Amino acid sequence: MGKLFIFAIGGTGSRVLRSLTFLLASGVKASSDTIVPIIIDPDQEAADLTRATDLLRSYNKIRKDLSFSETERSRFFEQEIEESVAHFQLPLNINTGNGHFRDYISESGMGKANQAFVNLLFSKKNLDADMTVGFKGNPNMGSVVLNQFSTSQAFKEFANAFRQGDKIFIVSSIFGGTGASGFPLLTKVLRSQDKNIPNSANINAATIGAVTVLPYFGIKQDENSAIDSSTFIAKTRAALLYYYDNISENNSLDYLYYLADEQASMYENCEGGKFQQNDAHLIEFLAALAILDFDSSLEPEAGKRRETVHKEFGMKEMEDYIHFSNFDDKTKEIIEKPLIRFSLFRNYFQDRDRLSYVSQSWVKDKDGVNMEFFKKPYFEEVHKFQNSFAEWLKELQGNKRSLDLFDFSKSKESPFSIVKGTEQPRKSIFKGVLGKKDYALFDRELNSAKSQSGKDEQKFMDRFYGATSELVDKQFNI
Amino acid sequence: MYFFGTVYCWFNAFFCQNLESYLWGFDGMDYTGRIWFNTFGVVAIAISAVIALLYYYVINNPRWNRWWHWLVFLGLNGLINMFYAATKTLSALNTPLIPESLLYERDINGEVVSTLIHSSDCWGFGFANFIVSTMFFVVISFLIKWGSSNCKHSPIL
Repeated sequence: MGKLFIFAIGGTGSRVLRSLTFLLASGVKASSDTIVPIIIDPDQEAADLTRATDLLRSYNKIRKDLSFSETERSRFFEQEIEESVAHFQLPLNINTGNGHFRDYISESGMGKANQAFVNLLFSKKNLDADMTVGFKGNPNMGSVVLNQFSTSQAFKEFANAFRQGDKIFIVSSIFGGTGASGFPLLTKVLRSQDKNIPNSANINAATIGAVTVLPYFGIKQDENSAIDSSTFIAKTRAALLYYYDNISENNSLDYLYYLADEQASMYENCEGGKFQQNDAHLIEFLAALAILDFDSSLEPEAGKRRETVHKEFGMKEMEDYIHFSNFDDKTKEIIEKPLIRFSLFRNYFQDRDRLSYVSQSWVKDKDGVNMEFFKKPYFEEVHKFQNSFAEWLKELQGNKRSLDLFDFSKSKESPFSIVKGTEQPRKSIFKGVLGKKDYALFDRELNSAKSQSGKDEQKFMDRFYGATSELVDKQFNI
Repeated sequence: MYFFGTVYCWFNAFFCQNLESYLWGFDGMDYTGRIWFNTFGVVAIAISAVIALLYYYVINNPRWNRWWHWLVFLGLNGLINMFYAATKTLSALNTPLIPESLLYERDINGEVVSTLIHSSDCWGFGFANFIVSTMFFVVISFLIKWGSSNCKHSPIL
């Protein structure tokens, strides 16, 4: 299958990409051969954005030394992610004058009548707003500024690269500034058949989906801030009406996913920039699953546009703390084994010191990963990625509603008792007496796992994927 | 036929000549009796093989794959063989299976003047068996370890 282009708009878009990247790293695979993330966010310094782009680049650094032919075993980092635009970001030209909105629209150069009209549409705060930190929950500003992207060089390059069979997915929030304005704009541009856009016929006929995230967190009140979460619901209502008329009714999209939750978490009030970094949330995780669901969905018959399919997410039980067991079987099947495997992979290096594993056969064998590998930058990159993964899980767990999948606090003593909400299989006393338990069992699987000849990086991933797969089958009640 | 005896005799400083003669098969008249060196040698190989197989293939534990873990099994093997050899020769000494001419020096009246083989000689032979069985254990280890999934690099390589 072709490519899946993901337009991730605003802070929510970046955070969803972060969740998606970790899912893909763990071995969850999309149906498309290649995923092409494109972030649209004017706030270049937003911590969520830099976190997402750093993670994507780290993913590619790790993946580039791996191969995934049938004979290879590892499925970690299997999904190809393409950096089609620099740093995965669609460049936006907002550097006019002082970076204020009034300079962007050249308000000072307008006639009196136009100035008066502008003052009707935009408040003084809007006009004085610094656009380099985003639109601060003002989609009316975003809809003006983001209009430029269809004429940008990067967008034309995307259009040029688009092929029949490729798909497009848009991720945005409905209650922010960038996402709420960018999503309908982008949809309109993609379906416009604008002759100035290369490949517009293919793009217009493409399967396009989107997830729009309704309010799922609140922001602490701050009189000095332009962001006020008490307006989120009102903005959402207004946006939904607009989407109904301009997206659903005219079937601009093939699939539209809606996600929301109670606004139980209250985040710090940051007007963008490097301090705007929100903890990962279950909703972003589910939005990432929406991407994968879309990618595996049926495409409309060629030349036919069907009615927009609207989707929401269902769970077996809604609790304050969500475990694997709360998901339905289909979702569990997608996420459970990959996330456990990757957690075991991460914990191995968190809980063991180097001396204990460099003596093992999987390191010392001729076809093993040799000791020098652990001094290479590649291993450091993997280790850093794994720690980011653990941090992401911790954020998900600490948020409200909590995605509470794992407990790593006792993983050193009981590496296979990490999954919350499930009964662990009884350990054989006999195995305990012989010492084949815990990390000894892990090492045993690593030593037995086969790896093909090749680079140390490949052998390393093969061993761990093979061993963690065996352990997931034998040690977890799945 | 004389292989084991030759090897044990490298360490005959630890036991007396009379015990050595018995172990060579001296039956009181000539060297026509059972060569006990062969028995002890075969048993030493068998015990060493069992202990090595236990370490590399039965226990085969990734937690026990450092060189000092292998040393524990080497020591254990040595001790088992030492006790086997010592108790077997002590039993022969006490029964006695060892010909009298080897055991005692007698005067012209036939009175025992001195004892020629002591229990310390038996323990000395036991210690010699410790060394010999250790050699066998090392050789067997390097022959069989390569198939062990977790311990093949113990003690080295």
